[in-house]
Amino acid sequence: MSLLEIRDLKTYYRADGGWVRATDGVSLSIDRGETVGLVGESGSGKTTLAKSIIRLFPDNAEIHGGSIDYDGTEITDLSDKELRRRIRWQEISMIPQNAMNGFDPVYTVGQQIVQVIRHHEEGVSKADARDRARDLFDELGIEPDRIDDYPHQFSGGMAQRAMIALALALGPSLVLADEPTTALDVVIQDRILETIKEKQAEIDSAMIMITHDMSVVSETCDRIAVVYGGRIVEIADARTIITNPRHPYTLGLRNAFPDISDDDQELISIPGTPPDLVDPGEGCRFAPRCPFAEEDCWEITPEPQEYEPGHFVECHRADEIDYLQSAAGEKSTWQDATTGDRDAVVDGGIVDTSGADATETEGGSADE
Amino acid sequence: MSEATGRVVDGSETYKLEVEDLEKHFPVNSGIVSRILRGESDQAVRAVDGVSLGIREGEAFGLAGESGCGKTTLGKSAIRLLEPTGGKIYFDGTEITNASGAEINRFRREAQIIHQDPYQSLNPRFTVYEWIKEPLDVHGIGTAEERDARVYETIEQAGLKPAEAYAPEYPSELSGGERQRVGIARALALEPSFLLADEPASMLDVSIRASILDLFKRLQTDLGLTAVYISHDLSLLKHMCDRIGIMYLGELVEVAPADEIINDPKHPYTQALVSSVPRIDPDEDRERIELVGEVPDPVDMPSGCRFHPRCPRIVQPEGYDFDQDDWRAVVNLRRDVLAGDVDPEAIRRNRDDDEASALAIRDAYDVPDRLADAAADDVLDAALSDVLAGDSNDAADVLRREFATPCESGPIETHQVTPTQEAACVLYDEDEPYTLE
Amino acid sequence: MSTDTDTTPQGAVTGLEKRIEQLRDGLGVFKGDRLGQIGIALVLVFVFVGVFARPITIEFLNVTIPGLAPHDPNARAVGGRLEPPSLAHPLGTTQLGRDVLSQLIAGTRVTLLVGSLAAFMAVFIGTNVGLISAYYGGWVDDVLMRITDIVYAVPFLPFAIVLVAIVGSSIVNIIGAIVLILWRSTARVIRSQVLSHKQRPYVESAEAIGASDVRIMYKHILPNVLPLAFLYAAFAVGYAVIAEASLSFLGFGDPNMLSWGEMIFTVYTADAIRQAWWWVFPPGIAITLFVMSVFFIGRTLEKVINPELRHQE
Ligand code: SF4
Ligand code: SF4
Repeated sequence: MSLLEIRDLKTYYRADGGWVRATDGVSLSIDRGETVGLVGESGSGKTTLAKSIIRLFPDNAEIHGGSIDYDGTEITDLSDKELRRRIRWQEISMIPQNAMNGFDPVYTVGQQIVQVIRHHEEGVSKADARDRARDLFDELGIEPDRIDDYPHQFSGGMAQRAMIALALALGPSLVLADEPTTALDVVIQDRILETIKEKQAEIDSAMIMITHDMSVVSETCDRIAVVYGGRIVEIADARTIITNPRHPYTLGLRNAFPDISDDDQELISIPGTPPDLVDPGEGCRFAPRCPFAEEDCWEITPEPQEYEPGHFVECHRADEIDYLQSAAGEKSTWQDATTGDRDAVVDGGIVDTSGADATETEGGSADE
Repeated sequence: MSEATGRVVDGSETYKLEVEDLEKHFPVNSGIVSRILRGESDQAVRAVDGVSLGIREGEAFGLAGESGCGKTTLGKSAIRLLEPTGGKIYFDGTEITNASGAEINRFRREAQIIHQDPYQSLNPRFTVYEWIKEPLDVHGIGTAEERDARVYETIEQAGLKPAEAYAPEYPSELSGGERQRVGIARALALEPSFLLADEPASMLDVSIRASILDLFKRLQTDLGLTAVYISHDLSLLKHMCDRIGIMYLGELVEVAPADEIINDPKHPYTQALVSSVPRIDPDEDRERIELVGEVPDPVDMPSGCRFHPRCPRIVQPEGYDFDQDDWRAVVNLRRDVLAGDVDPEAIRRNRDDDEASALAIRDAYDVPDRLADAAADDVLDAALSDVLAGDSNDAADVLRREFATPCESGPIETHQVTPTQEAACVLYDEDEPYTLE
Repeated sequence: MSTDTDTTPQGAVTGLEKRIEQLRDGLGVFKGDRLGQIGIALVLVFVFVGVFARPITIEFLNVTIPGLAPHDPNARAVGGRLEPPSLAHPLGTTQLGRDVLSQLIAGTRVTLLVGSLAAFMAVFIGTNVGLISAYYGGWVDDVLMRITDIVYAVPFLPFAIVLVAIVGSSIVNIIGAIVLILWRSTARVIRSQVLSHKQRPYVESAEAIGASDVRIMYKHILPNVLPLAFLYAAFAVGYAVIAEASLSFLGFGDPNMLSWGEMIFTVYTADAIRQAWWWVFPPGIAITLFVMSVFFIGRTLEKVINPELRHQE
């Protein structure tokens, strides 16, 4: 049995024009000790998906359907209070993108870790909690004495480590890491990712890693889920997603991402922007940007299909893998998608009124 | 660096932009109170500290390094958006270090900047049209009709079509990618010959990043522009640039053609930097080079090679033979002894030992219980006994004298490592017998 | 700050349309904000009353628009002494038999004039000081901000009283006294705003094309901090009216100019405050209403400009 089982989850945001369907029918299961990466552009809904699990989203968001089964407990049935007491931190914790915002500036980092430990575990003395905080610091490569420092006395990398210490203090079974290293330089990023991996293996927790960086997921994750327009459009083990993807969007992302090991890579961008999630309607949400879109794509919403064991793809043409893969590697394929009736789309902006159709100026801003 | 990087290589080369010993220091205190109390501030952040570099006509040059290394300051000082505190700048062979009036105006027409943040770099109160036209107004170029035509032409050049649809828009109505293009269009309006692009794509989504980079590439070929790209993203620079320069703490440590610097970096810092970039290919096993500590405070610069407090390949002292990892550990311990920072009591407390001991100190610094080189071990042992006895000064004297490394003293020169690659590191000094593994 | 966009037909026209659109969007904030709407309505009424208080003669057309005031506010004995409100004198009469309603109406003009002139000048000075101080920084900033600090240390009333006592209590001097104090808060707030704008890349982008300091200050930064200046202007009008009233009430007003504050002062000196409620309340209520309405407007503007902004004075 898997640790976390999300079924048909829908998380919507209230917005001016109606509901923004930031997560719109997502199913995902995560095993114990496993690391799953969520990749996608900003506005794709990847962050919302992860935050829905522990309901860490803004007030105007709501779960509109679906279920989240965590180790036998239905999380969507829990009250906010129960969720906070039983699940958050001790079972599922979160490493935010910017650690500095995660800490309260008026308390020392140590005080905050002690507080979290004592809040969730009864009968732990202050001194014991402090010792544990010191040990955690030591293991994460921060001098234990620095637990008495205030957050602003930490460098960015160090604060991120301290945040990891806090997230792992209670030995959670699942860690949600939201772009944990995006704000950091590569040297520190590398060290932090390494630290996260080590600690994760040690306490045998599962992890969801949210990022837009293909190389980070490739190195850290067992499985990768590609998120687009509020849905998981392709999911498989990391190797398959990187070397043998079937969804045109995954292929596009792969081509758009500069690879340091590739001496003569041709970068290819994906024209257009993420879809407006207020009323996406029927059809494939990637169709307005997809060079392989056919008649059906605009009308029939593709359902996830399993191609190899564990490899699910939401695309009508995913069985034409050889053609898709070879064609997607050509720059002209993607440029052609921007000619014809959608020629005015530059980076998904203003659409020439004559050719205005499915592409909207404003993408769903629900994500970040 | 005392030698002019680049000039040594090819003295005949004509440079589009050249800086010589460029320096930009920021005073730490500038408030009136501290100025009155302490006189002119004596401390300074040495953001750029003696950089010499030549950008060749028509090339794409990348400046890389971690945040705070001074790459942006170098770029902005080189085009006089920041006033350098020392050194010289040449543009098209003419010195512009102190240019003013008409001269600087002429230069402003030639060199333009593209900013990182497309959301903050356009004035929200200007329409696209006004924003792009402004440089033409400022320099009084052409007639009204000509300017008008030029605006539309540049909007299209930047890939925004049809120009008429974009001209009346305010930035708030545009997407990030479009704003970046508007920024580019403005920079192009004056038909410059040099572009400085400061992280031009880092705020954009992956999927559209490539199209902006493409635009730069196309502009460079079509208009023959020379461009400097500043970025922390080595993969991106490798993709975009002919040559790349790596900065560390205000200095340029290595300059080489893009492929070479990524595939075969010479400077130990570059090696560490490149090794820490995650790889997409699941089959690629990268060798990770771990660096100790963090980038030091730029107010309090390390002596000699600024990378020596962290360098895994730091040169060993004459007459001893360490295992390199052990040597690195010994250097860390030595540094703290010299600074009087080794507190055996604190180490004991942290480890919950009964008594402070030399072994505990060694252990705290990852120094093995016995060094392979017996002579070296004796020196270290004597020093640690001194530390335990409270004689940190004696310990410091011994360690300073016996374990001196050329990396920590004197100016570090830039050496030509291969015909195209140069690195500021004593390992490549041919006159000295430091061996390379 | 003249632009030469007018030489460029197409862009300029569409730009203008955009501006109007923006303005309309800006006014949209009053939609659904009751207090803001009330504020606007009241201010409009006051302005109308102020403008048409007295007969206006347009010479070359040879027409005279009759004033709103039923009587000459300074004419004595248009009624009896201290008459309570009646049909002939809806707000009663004063000690000297002057019509209170007419005085109130005429006073609107003076009060509004003092308020808006003083506010405008104070905000004008404050904005420029803030702009220049922040933009140039260094010793310019030091000097200007020390001056601002000194002005901050000066209490308004004693200062104004001394000043008026020395130079005489004409309306111009009163406005001057108010302006000399009132610019300080605008200067500080604008300065901090400019400091933040100065850091933004768009300013550097203007430097990069070789734009002059004046251009950068007035064409690039000013339009971005102007909304804040407007907000301060709204508050400043309120403060200026209160300041003028206080001065007048204390007897330092311009004796030749009938303002609301002056009215209350006269009641007070006539020792009629206890009996002639019809003479005290109208100017008092008018001051309160007017100040309240400009604050309501300011409050609404404030919400748009910066939800977190707290104005101080
Ligand atoms: S379903 Fe059609 S439009 Fe969607 S990704 Fe597949 S081919 Fe493209
Ligand atoms: S000079 Fe020494 S410390 Fe500096 S990079 Fe070279 S080997 Fe390392």
